[in-house]
Amino acid sequence: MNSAPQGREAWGSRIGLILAAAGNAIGIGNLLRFPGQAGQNGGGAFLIPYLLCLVLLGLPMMWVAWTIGRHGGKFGHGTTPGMFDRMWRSPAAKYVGAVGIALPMIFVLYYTYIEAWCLAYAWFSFKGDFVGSAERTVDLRNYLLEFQGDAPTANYFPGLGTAFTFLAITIAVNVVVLWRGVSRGIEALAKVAIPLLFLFCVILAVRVFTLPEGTGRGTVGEGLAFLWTPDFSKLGDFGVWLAAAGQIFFTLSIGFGSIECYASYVREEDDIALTGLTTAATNEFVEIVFGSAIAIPAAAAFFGAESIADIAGSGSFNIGMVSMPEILRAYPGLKFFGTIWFLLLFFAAFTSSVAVAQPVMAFLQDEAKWKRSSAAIAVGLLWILGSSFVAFGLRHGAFDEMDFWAGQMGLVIFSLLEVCIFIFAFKMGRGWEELHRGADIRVPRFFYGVVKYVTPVLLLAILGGWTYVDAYKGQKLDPQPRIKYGVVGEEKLPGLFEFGRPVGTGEQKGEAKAVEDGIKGAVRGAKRDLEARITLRVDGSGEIAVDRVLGNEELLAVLDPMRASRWLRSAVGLSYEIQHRPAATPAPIEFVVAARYTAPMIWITRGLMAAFLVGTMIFIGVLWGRRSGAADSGH
Amino acid sequence: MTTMAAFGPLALLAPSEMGLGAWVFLVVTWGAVIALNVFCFARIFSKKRP
Repeated sequence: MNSAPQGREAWGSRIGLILAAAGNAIGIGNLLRFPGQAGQNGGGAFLIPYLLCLVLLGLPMMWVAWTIGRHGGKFGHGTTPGMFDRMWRSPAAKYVGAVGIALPMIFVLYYTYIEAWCLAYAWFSFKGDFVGSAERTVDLRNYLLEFQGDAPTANYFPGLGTAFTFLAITIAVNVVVLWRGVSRGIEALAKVAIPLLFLFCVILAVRVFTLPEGTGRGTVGEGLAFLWTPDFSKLGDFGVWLAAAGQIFFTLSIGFGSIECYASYVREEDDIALTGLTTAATNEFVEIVFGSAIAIPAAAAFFGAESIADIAGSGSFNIGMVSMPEILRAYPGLKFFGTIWFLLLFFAAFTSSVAVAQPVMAFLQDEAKWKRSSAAIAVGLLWILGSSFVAFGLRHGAFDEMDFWAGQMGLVIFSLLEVCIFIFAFKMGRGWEELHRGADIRVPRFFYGVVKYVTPVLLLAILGGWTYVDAYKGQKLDPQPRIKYGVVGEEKLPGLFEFGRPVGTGEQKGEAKAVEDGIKGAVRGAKRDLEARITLRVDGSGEIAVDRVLGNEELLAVLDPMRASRWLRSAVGLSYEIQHRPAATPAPIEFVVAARYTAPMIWITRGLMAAFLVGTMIFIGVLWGRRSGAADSGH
Repeated sequence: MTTMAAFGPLALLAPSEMGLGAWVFLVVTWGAVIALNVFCFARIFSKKRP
């Protein structure tokens, strides 16, 4: 496995390739997104659409990507512009392939920021920074928001300096790995990171299952029951099927062009059928076994069965970076287990980010004929610029916007284009033959029909479903103002503010929603960020009352003290729990509400993403033009 | 008791909160994933390449 096709780099060993490809697929979503999705969408019954989608969508797309990649590598192409150009005799092919360069690069810009959070939290755990004490209360929800640069307060982090430091370190280590190349960089990393990832998973699973009984509000068993008890009534819900298909899509890293790129470094006569299957199998092992054995059981044991549905639905970052640290700091050994938990997430993200960035490296090396060092420097510069934009723009929606287009819609659109080129341009029969060249297993013939007829239809259904649910019903195309809030100086208070689930009657909730709609309307009308400062009083029993509200006039019109009080209780679920010095009653407290006008940032983000895609297409056009010019003069 | 009857000593490791349905899904899914991994890696390591 060590001779390079077309003088390109190659994998050093088969096991190295499998570990690297598994590292590409295994990401934060395996440990955080999967259990959340399973718990919310029918528990054990979720596994029915999930496994069905694995067979009808995940494995077929995996084999398609490996086949396209190895075929392209045979001609010296490591990325989809060159690969598609070889498969489809159309001038448009290379431009369609440009999506396979722009998409992963945009994705990696914000994904690295998440990776940096994991690295930072590993360091914070090691230092015991968020343990909290009588002198310093740590609200982990706000701690995360402030670290990310998304909070209206600065209690724990004065600015983005800490986040930037870890972002720079994360990008630097990624670039070093890419600079070292496929075998000495990516493969060497995978050989260390993937075994470590498994080891950390085992240590944490053992820790969760041996949490001392009676110390939390629930049991580990309640978490497992939540995850695995089947609710068959959910199978009639289209949303559950859409969630299952989406999870398969995300977990296998389909649609990034990274599998194709990795496969391009495989020799023509080497197996890809078994390698592709093994990659998926390893990923599923981490997702189904470890994904269901750590975060949700731990959360159930600590927070209790009644809270687990809320936690599962709170999103991956809240599960991983708010709930898990909350649990870990409550038991002895935070420095060890907390560090391991976040290093686990970091390694899962690290092996994925180098994989997703590699297509850009390969493109510059294979098509533009740049040296690896020059390509690494260029990618590094683009990376630091782009990720800095993400960090600065997060509070105004840049992060979410990039995630929606590059991490969701773009993937399914690109996969659909890819499978159509495979079936109709390259021809299914030829593709099937290509998949089996040098194969160590015979893929059941059943999959021939699946790839040809079922997978494209499923992809169309996902595209339609997401367009309807997120773009149309979720109003993702219309920039929505963001409302963020926090308590000023909360770290010095003798208690802890909690932001629970919304409470109150239907009428109160309706009123709370009306207040939020009013805030959003005020922001839209003013076309700028608005802020209100609510002065709260907390009595000795923890009861909260609103004293006064100050701030921008537009906001005060919809957030008077009475409305503010109802909104805080009903929508924010704000409560105050006295933890230390119960006799001490805190002085009036300032609660900040920041309502952000996101439209300019979202349109700038969209413009930059579109410009990057168009720029990539122009670059491809120039490269191909130069190549055909050189060929003509050669004749 | 149902869980105990169905899974014998294995059920002792399991929390009592899990019903039979949860157990069936857990065991079948974990079993399938582990079996697939054993199959794949056994094939890979049994294959001798030059």
